[in-house]
Amino acid sequence: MKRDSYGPWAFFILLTAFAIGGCADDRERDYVTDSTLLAKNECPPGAAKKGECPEPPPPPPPPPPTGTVEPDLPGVSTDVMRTPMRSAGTPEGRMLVADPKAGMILRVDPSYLLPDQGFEALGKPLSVALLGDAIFVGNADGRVIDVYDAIGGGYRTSFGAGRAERPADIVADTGLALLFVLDSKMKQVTVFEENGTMVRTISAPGSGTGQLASPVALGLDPVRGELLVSDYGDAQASASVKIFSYDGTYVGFIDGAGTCNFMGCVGGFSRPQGVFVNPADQVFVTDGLLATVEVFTRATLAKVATLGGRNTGFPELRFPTDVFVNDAGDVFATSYQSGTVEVFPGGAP
Amino acid sequence: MSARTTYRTAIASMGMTVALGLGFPSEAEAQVEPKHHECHACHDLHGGGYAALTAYATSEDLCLSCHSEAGPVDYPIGGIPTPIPRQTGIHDGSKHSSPTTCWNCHDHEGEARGATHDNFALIPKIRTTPNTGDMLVEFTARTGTSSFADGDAMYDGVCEVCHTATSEHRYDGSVGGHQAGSDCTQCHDHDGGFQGAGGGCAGCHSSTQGSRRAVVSEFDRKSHHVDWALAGYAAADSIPDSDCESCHDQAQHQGGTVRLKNADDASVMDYTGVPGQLETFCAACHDADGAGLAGGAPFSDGLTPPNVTDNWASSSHEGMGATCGDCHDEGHGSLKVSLLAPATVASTAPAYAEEQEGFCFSCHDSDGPATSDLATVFARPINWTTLAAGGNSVTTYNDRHDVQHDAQAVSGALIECTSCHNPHSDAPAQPYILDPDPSDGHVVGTDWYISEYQAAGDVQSEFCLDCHDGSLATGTADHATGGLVNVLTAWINQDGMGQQAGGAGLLAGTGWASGDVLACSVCHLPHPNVDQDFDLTNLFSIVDTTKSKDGSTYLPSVLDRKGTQTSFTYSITDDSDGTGVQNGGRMCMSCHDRTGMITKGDCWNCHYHGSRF
Repeated sequence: MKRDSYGPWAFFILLTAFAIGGCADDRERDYVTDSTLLAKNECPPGAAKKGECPEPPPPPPPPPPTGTVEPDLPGVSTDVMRTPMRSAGTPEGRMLVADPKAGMILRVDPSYLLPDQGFEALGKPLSVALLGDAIFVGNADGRVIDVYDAIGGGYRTSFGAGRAERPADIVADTGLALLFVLDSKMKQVTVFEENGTMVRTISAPGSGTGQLASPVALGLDPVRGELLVSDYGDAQASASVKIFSYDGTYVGFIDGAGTCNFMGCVGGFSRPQGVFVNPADQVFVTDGLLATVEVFTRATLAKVATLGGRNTGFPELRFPTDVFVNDAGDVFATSYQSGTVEVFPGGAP
Repeated sequence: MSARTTYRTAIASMGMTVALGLGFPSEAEAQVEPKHHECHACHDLHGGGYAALTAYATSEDLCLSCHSEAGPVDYPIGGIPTPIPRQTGIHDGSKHSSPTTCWNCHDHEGEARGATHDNFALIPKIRTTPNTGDMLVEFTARTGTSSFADGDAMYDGVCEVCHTATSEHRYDGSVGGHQAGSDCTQCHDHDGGFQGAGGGCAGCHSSTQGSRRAVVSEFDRKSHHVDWALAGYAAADSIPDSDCESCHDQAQHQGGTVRLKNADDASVMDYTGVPGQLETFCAACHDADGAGLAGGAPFSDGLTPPNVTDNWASSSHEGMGATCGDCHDEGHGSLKVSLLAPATVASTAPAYAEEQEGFCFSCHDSDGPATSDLATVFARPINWTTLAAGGNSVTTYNDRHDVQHDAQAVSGALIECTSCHNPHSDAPAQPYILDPDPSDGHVVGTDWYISEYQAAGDVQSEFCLDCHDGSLATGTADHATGGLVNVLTAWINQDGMGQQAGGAGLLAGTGWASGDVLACSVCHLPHPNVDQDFDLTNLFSIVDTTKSKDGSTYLPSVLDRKGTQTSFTYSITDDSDGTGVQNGGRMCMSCHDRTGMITKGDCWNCHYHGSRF
C-alpha cells in the first residue's frame, strides 16, 4: 500500500488489540510483525503463553483521525494539470499529484478528477508524499527533497542532497514516520526519518537478484513492512516489481504474470510504473505502455485483474504513471500523456 | 539546390547496420552522438506483450516511456537532458493542424549508418515530407555546417526540409534564414513544440530579433529589474520566462507591438515608446501592494518593488508634469544606478556625477525645467576652512553638504541629494524626506528630540538633527578628519540651544527674546548660497543675512571693526582670514549688542557648537 492511509489504520488495529485484551502486550514489539499477525488472525507468542488470546478482532473500522493532516493549499485553476506523475493519498481520500511540466503539486478532488488546490514547487517536481503536517516533494532540478507545509503550501526546507539525484518517487510510512526515496539515477532507495536524517539505503544498481536495473517508482506495504519497486529491467532482467523488506532484504518480485522460458519472458510488464498496496492485500501496478492498471494478490503474486488498456473504452489511460485506491475501492490512476486523472469506480475493469 | 532524391535508392545505399544489442543506454552512453538504440530498449525480442508496437503502444508513448520525467532517467538529447512533452506539445498545436509524432522525424532508418551520412538523433537520411516529397537530410552537427539549418544553399537541414510556410528557413530558401548555423532547439525546443518559446524568452532575446534589440544583456547592467543572481541563476540568460511575463504580455507575441501587462489588474497596453504611457504600468508594481496579482514580488528574486507612489500624485515632480520615463529609461537595465536615463550612457568615474547630483542638476539648473537652480550654486568654487571654529585647525570643512566628488575627495565625507530628498514624494509643503536616518530609530516629527521644536512644529530642525545627532544615515559618511560635532548633544547640553537667559545683549527689533530656542535655519542653509539675498557663499552654509524672528526683516550688522555700520552682509570665508573673523563677528552682532567685544577678534574662537553659543 502506498502513502499514509494504511499505516495509521494498522496502528489503530494495534490499539484495538490492546484495548480488548492486551494481545499485542509488548509495546516494544515490532509494529510490522504484530500487524501481520493480527491481520492473519493469529495470536502473538507472548499472549499465547499467557492464555490471554482473545476472540478474533472485529473488522477494522474506518481509519481514525491520524497525525497526518489533510492538506489545505491555495486554490488553482482546474485546467492547470499537464503531466500528472506520482501521487499520494490524503487522509480524506483526495490525491496529491506531482506535475513536473506544470511545476506544481496539485490536490485533486476525487469527485471531479480535477485539481482544486495546489502550489508551485521549486524546480521540477517528480514525486510527492504526505507525512504529518508536511508535504515532501522530489525536486529533479534541485536534486533534493523539498519540504512544504501541508497547510498553505509554504516552503520549509530541503534535504537529501546526494541521495536524490533523480527523486523519481517518494512513499511514506506514517506509522513509523519514515520516508522512502527512490533515486532512479543512482538506482537505489534511501530511507529517511521525517526530519531528513538518513536511516539506510536499500538495494543497489544492477541486473542481479535484489538489484535495481532501471527503477522508476515505489509502492509501500506497511503491514508487511515491504517496499515495492517497479523496474523497467534491462537486457538481463525483465521488467518487474521487486519487493524488499524495510531493512533491505530482498523478498521477491512480481513479473506481471508473464511466462518465462529459455527463450525469454512473454506477457509480463512493459513499462511498470506506480505501485499501490491496499488493505485487502492487493497490489496495483500501472503499466505505461500497456496503458493498464494490473492487479495482483500479494500473498500469491498472481494477477487477478487488469483495468484499462488500449482501445478498451472509457476511462482510457495514456501512459499511466501512478495509482491510488481509496477506502471505497475506487482505483485512481494518473494519466501522464493525457494530462488527466482517471478512475475505475470500485476497481471495476 | 533542391535536395530531392529517391528514398528507396538512398536507403539501399546506406547499408543499414542496426545494432542488435540489448538494454537501455546508460546516461553516459547517451551523452554521445549519434546514439543507436539497442533492440531491447523497445522490443521484447522473444514475444513480449509490446513486441508489436503498433498494437500496444503509439510511438511517442514508447519514446516517452524513457524520454520523459516518467522514465528511469532523462536521457540526454545532444548532451542536454531533455524530457519530451506529451503528444499535444510535440511540434503541433498552433503551427500544425494535425498531431505530429516522434516517428515523423525520427525512425529506424535514422539509426542506420550511411556511407555519407550519420545523422544525429535517429533522423533518417531521407525524409518523406508532407508537401515536398522525399528530401535529403543532413544532420551531423548541432551547430555550424550540417546542423539544424546551417544557412548554405542545400536547404537540407532537419528544420528546413518540411517547412513551406514558415517565415524563416523554408525548404527552398525562399525566405529569411535567421540564426543560421545555430542550435535551433535552444529556442525552438521539443518542450515548446518547437514553437519558438521553448528556448525561453532569454533564449531568443539574447540576440537581435528583427526590429527588437537584444535585451538580455541589459540585465547585466549596473541597475536592472530582476536580480537574477539573488534568484540563484548563474547568468542573465537564465532568467525564467515567468519573470519576463511579469511585465510583457505574450498573447500576441511577434504581433509587432510591445504589450505591457498591468500587475494589478492584468490589463494590457501597447507601448509605443511614449514615456507618459509608463506611469500607470510602473505604478502597478511600485505601489503599496507591490505586484498585486503576483502577491508582491513580481520576479523570481522575491524582491518587493519599492513603493514610490504613495505621495507621487502630490509631488513637485508630478506637478511639473514629469513621468517615470522622464528620469528612468529602459525597464531592463541601465548603465547608471536606479535605471536612470539615458540607460546606455554610463556615468563618468571617479565622480559619477551623471547618476548622482549631476542627474538632479540636469533639470535643476539655469535653464530648467526645474525652477530651482542648484547647478549654479554648487558650481561655485568650494570654500575650505584652514582654521575652524574654536581655533581648531581642520581643513575638511567647507561651505556645503559634500554632494560633489570634488568636495568628497578632500573631506572624505559622503552625502547625496537623495540623502535628504525623495524625488517621488518631495513637494513644496514637504521638500525633504521625513526620516533621513531610519537606522537611529528616531522618526522626525514623531519622537521629538527637543520639546521646544515640537512646540513650534519645527520639523526642519529635527530633520537636520536626525543626521547631526552622532548617528549618520546609511549611505553617508563623516569627514575623514575632524568629524562632525554631535550637534544634538552639544546643542542641548553645552550650547543651551541659544536660549541662555540674561546677558545675551539682544538688540531691540529682532523679535528674538531671551529663552528662545533657535531653529537650525536661523543660521544655516541646506544648500550653499541659495539664500540668494546677497549672493554669498559662506562657510558651513551660513545664511548671508540673518533675519528677524518672524523672517520678515533683514537684520543689519551693527558695526564693523571701526564701529561703523556698513551693510547687511558678511562674507565668512575662513576663520583664519582677518576678514572672515571680522565678518563672523558681524553675523553675531546682527542680533547681539557686543560693541565692547569688537576688539576681541573672532566671536567663534569662544562661541561655537559645543561651547556655549
